[in-house]
Amino acid sequence: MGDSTDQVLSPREGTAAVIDHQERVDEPLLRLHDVVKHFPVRSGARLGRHGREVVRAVDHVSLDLQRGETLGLVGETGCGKSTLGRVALRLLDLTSGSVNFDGTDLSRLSDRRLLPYRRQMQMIFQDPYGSLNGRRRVGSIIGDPFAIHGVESRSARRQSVQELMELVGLNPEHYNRFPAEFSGGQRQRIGVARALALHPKLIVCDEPVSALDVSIQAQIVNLLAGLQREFGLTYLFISHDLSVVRHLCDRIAVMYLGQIVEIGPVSEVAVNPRHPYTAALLSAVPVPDPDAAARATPVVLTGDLPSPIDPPTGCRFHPRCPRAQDLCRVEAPALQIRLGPDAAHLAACHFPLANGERLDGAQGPSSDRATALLVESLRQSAQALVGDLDAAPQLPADLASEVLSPDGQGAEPPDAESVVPLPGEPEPAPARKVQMRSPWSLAFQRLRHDRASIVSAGVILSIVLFAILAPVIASLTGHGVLEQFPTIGLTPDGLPKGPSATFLLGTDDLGRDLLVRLAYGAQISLMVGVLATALTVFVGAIVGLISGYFSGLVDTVFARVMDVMLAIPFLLFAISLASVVSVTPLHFGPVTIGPGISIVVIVIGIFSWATVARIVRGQVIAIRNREFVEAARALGARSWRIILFDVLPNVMPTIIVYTTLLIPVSIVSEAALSYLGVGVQPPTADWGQMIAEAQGYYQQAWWFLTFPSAALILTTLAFNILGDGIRDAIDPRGTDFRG
Amino acid sequence: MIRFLARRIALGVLVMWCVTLVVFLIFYVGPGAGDVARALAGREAPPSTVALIARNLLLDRPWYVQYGHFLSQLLHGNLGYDYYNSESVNTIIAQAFPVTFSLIIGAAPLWLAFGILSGVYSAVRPRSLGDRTFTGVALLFYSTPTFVLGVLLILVLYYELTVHGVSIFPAPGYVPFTQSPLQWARALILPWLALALVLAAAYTRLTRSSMLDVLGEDYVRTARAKGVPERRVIFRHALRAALNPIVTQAGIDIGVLFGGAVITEQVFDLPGLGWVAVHAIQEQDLPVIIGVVVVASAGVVAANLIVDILYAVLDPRVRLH
Amino acid sequence: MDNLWVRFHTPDGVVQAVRGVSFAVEPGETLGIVGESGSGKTLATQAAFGLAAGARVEGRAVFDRRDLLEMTVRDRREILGSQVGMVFQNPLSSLHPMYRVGWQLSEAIRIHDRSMSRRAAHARVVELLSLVGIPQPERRIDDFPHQFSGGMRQRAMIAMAIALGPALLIADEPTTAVDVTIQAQILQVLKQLKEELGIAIVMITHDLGVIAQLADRVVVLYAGKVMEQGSVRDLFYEHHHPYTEGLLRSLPAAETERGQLVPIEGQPPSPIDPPPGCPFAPRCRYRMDRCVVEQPRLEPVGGHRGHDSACFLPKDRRPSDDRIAVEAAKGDDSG
Repeated sequence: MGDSTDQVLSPREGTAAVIDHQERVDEPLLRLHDVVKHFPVRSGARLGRHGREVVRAVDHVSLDLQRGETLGLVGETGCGKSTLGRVALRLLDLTSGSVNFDGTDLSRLSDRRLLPYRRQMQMIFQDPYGSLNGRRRVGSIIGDPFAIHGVESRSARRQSVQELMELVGLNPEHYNRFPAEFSGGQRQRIGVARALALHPKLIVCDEPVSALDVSIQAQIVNLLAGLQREFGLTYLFISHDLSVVRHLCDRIAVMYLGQIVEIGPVSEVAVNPRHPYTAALLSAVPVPDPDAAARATPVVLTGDLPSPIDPPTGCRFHPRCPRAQDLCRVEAPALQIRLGPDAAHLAACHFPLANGERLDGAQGPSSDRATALLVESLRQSAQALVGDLDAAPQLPADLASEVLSPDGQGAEPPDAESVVPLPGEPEPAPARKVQMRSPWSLAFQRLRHDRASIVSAGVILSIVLFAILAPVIASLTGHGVLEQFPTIGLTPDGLPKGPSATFLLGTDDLGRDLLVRLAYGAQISLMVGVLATALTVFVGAIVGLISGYFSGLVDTVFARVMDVMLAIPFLLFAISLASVVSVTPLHFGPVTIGPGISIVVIVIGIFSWATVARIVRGQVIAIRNREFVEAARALGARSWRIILFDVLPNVMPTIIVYTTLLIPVSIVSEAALSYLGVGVQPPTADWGQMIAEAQGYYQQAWWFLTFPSAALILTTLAFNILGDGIRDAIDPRGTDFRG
Repeated sequence: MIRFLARRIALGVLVMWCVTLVVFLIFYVGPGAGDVARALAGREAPPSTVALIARNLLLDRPWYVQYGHFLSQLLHGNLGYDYYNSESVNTIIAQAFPVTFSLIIGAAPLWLAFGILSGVYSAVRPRSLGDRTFTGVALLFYSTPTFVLGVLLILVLYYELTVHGVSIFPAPGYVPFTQSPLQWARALILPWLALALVLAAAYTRLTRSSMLDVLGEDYVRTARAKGVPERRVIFRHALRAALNPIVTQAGIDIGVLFGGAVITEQVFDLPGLGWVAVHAIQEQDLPVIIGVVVVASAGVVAANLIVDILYAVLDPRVRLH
Repeated sequence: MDNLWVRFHTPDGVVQAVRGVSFAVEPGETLGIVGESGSGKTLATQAAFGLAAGARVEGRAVFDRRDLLEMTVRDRREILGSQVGMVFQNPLSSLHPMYRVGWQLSEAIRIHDRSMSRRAAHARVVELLSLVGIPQPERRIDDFPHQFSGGMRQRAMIAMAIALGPALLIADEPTTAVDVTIQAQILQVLKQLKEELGIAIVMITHDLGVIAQLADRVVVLYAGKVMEQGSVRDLFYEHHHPYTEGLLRSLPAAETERGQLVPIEGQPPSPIDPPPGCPFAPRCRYRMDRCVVEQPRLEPVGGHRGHDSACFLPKDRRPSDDRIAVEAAKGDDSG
């Protein structure tokens, strides 16, 4: 349980409800007292005018949740219900007020001290696609709570996970599958299993069925109801869908613009709403019954939701309320009206609806006169339209070739057989065999079918082989890489000799075997390419990950450093550093960095990490707001764990793509530096250098220039094609269909 | 909006300051700086000059004093004095700048026009012969280092043609605009091509990719559903939205070119900023090196700032953030 | 629509999104198309008008006596916007983020009506905005889409769709992405358009409540095929097809007792390799052997014309216990 600092509750003040008349057997499981949550507004344009502007997401909400009950939290977008749910779980800090769970005040506890409580309160998220990490296996996802809290050994864990899967209606043999192989409804079941793992007392359900098809919604709702009965769970059920809430909940609280406007037993509130907003909400839900719909006069609220930054004065609902009076504009009503014998039903309204009273319909958006005018003008314009086609160019009927994803809220993947039939229900018909498909193996398969990439990979391998075998080539031909052959290697005029049996690719201006030098040059290019890129990506990825995940000061500092690094002209600095070092080599203890490979690698690495870091940072920022990261935090995972297991696997594809695309850039940079004379120094063989030397001999010795140039272009091309292929394999857009 | 600009400008100033600090550290204080005064004076300067330099630059004072002096000089627009050539660095740079500028101002429209148009075409007709050709050619040029392309262009287009009697292109070198506009352009065509071809390739790819993303967006579908003719949909609706990453990249590329056209200037013998810098490095002429680096960095920062402004102009969502 | 087929060729196989769908909309009538994800409800209309990229379309789609599928792109574009208006699901992404709302609406008008001056178009746009209930249209006309609220954006889209007085409005899940009170506003606008302007509406949705409010006739789609079609009363009170029955029973509003909803177990079939028989067979509680191998054809049900069902069950079958469920729900709601 909690620590021993029992809190004596202070007498409630302000706008808190007085509900001591309510029968209480125990202490409530969850007590929210005068909770306030404001978010600062990051708007440069408005700073300074009204002081710090805030979004008043939750404004003085008090709520009790009894053990075993299901409380529905209902409202529309922007009412603060999701925020309230997260505050209750301490996924967000409170601006003020208190959160009391099972007798312990959690409001100010640090993440570390909250850890034991996280076992008892969990969350189910809305988005079946965003709430699961697509790159982890389902067994690992469901087993996460065990791993985070250090419960159970690995082997026992597997069994527990499989039991959980069965409990929620999944096939335990699909333990090793990836989320993409499940449908929307099944993914929600995975989320439920994860939440249930450590047998929590409280589960906050944040719109768990909103993203599902209607026929699937019912399955999940039944599941939740069944689990509650079996385990004695307490639910805080957040939803905008009144019909689901009406079905599942004992009590219901209606929120508007950060405040609770009505609360009471669902049978009361749903049938006899007191607050005008509740009445409007209820009447706005279209009833699936044509006769009733024809009879109904729904209350249609005018206008839109006001901004939570600047809510209306007095009662926040008054601008849209059909019953508003002067008092409503001035004074905010408190949630403490006594309402007859069922005093647990409260509404925050100065003029609540009486029992059985109906709300008058508000007037429609336009008057009859405006409509008549428009009808007339439309008739005129329809008549005036002449078939005067403008000369648009003829284009073929099928333009882009993207596949439109299936419509609807949750696209169901091709795999449709993994539901265990519940007893009494018809067996699902046998479907196609589905093999286990991790995102990586999928990408690999796509790559295998890309002929261009395969060819490029082959070319790269050949070049690597060529480089490795350089000494062998040298010994086979009998020509060392630095050996000059002025007699047999040069013409009588002292010019290079062309390709022949002795010198397969000809010689250079000093009578050296071009083939051998090309091979050794390949070594340098590849070595620099790989090493420099490795350094760049390593540093860049780490900085990007840290900077992206931990916003705030760390991020700001790193971002500025990146800006500076990117502002420094690479080539000039590279040249300068290289030349500085060529005069006075640097000594770091036993290591000397002089002109040559090392300085080139370092220079390229230093100046390129910022590009990678910036990109990784961007991705990490996008990922850290995804629901599965939130889920990990709700489970109590520490930051490093989240970065390693949740963020990194999702950033990996980008990193891989950039690695393959950076290698050719490094190779070209090295060649450029050598061309300018500040990279690898003669007489070491290097492609860029050879090109520089060959310029003057173009007329007489075309081979001297052609072969190194061709080698350079070929290598770069191969890496670029492969890089493109990898990127398309990892993230296909469906535009390049092959086969 | 003003606040947005002010913040970006302040940021740019901060970055420039950091750059000057880094430059200073590397050249005046860092390893390899050696005897700064001697280095600054040049290899063959007499000791009296060296002593004079040492006094002028306060080299006997602690490094932060030196930096302060350096910085204050900079702020007065004085980039230093080239003892080697007995010229003020300002003059040298003022002479070199128009060359680099000419290079950029000719190449940029070329690569942008070609890259964007071919990218749009490729995106609108994917997998067609045109698309495959453009993409393939782009890949090829994209994989060719600038210096290789430059060398090849010179040798093929200039050398071979001239030797065979067709002398359209002049020998490598620079002709000032004020001297003869026609010759200026003639001399720059090959360098423009060398630079533009490689960069256009990158922009073809970028535009194609960005357009493909945008063409799948809902608002493009809405435009078609309104009955908007296809050409207008492509250019007014799709391209407009796809321009964001292209503009950003163009800004960065142009900014970088101020200090980064080294290779092209070297190959084509154009005495621009890069060429000057390279020769200064070979002669160990520190003041010039520093001057060019500072100007080049300023170019990048300025370009980024312009990109930010353009971004706000193009995308109203950024404006009313 | 007459026997419409829509397919996509993908590396994973041929996706059969729409399989032989036929339905008709009379002038002034509101047709509801109901289906869940993968039913093909959106693609049917979009593909017919050439808005589905990469789709291979077969069959006939006749509008005003001309077959859309036989027309050139140019002719289709001429119809779109002037005689047929479309409203899509997500108003934020459906409006161009970089152009002002007034400009976008004005474009819709001037594309088809070249003779209209800019000022006249401007005035018309203001009229349209105020018709759909956008306050202060004179000021709002210069705003960008992200400055509008969700409900206002959707109303602006509706205004754009009806700007030229089309005979048909296709509304593709127009209220799915908005809150229920905003949905009520939008439905009211649509009802008004229907009643006062006599526009025919195709209302594509998964929400049966919306259908009940707005539609005259309904088509139920599942896995790319029509399961049942008929008048709205036919469907809610005299439905025949087990899928329709399942949908109605799984609604929380139609519960018989608290505590147990009646879902449809299982998942929709894969569109790439649909099973040979009735697509609903795997999940159908009345399944017979015949259903798995043979596809039922759409045949008339009950006494009157216009109500058809694609099912092998005898056509005079009355869903008795379901009627009770609906009656219970009727008495339950507070209207």
